Amino acid sequence: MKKLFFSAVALVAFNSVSIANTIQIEEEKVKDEKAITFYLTKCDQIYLTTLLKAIELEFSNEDASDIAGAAYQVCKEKEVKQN
Amino acid sequence: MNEFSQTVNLLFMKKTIKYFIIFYCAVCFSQKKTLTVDYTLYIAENIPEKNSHKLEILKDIDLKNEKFFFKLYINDSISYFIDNNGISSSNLSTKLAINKTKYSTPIFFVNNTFYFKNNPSFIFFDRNEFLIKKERINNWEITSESKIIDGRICYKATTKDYYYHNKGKKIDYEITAWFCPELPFRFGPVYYNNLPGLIIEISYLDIKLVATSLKYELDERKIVKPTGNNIVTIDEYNSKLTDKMAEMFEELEKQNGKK
Repeated sequence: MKKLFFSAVALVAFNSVSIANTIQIEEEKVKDEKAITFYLTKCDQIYLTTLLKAIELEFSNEDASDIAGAAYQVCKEKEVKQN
Repeated sequence: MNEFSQTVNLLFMKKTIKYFIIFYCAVCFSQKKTLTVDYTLYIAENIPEKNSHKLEILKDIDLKNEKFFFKLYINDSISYFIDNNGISSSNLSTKLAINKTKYSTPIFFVNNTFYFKNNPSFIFFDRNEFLIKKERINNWEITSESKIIDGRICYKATTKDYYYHNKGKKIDYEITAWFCPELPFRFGPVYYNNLPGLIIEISYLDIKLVATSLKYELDERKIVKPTGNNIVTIDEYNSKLTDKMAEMFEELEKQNGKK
């Protein structure tokens, strides 16, 4: 009876360890894929170029983000119209 | 006999008044302290801008003067400060005008700390990525200078705060607040409270916020507790923002270089 109990505990313990490891590996894989497939769209590039220019013009981060956001919005609206 | 009945009547009256006072105080103190305040934004005139690009962007901000309103909801020990739909507007000069207050998303105050979400205009962070926390100011200097605002005597208090401009550059600024002890609410607009009375007027940088309406009522549904996946301090958030911007600029350069 004792043997059976300990084997059951061991089985559950090893199982959870193996499951936990699988999850961890999967998470890392997702991260790697993100790093590899990261690509800036045309609108992303417009956003960043505007953001950079606004910062050069001495706008604050918040203002620069809003200015770049407005440019991004125009780009996205154009994309929708073209499609 | 007549004298006796008079004494009994007097005793009865005294008791009634005593119980009435006790009852009145009990009702007053057991009530929730709720208040809804409207604040109007005033913007100082812009210093003439030499750069033509910058001038083009900033030209309409002055037109927004006195056109923006914020609401402060107070419920006992919590407060919620929100713009009247200005920040979600697609109009750029509206957003830039509101940015002058250093407000970016609704601000929730509880347990001596302000909580608010990251600015959704920075598209490389998810909308719910961060819940930013900012400690309240504890070092107000209360002066004896006073003025009457809407029939209430209000006192002047000053302090300092800071914001991150860009590239991690920190800018200090002075704040002047007028609070009214007659209104026993230790709250105020944006990130400013902790004075012995409601802040009726506050000025810093080139803006002024003035309370234009007070209502001793509250629609609790209007208070929305902000959420975020990572709780960070304002300093940590700015460091993450600066790093992310640098990373994205590098990525842009890489992709442009490949072409």
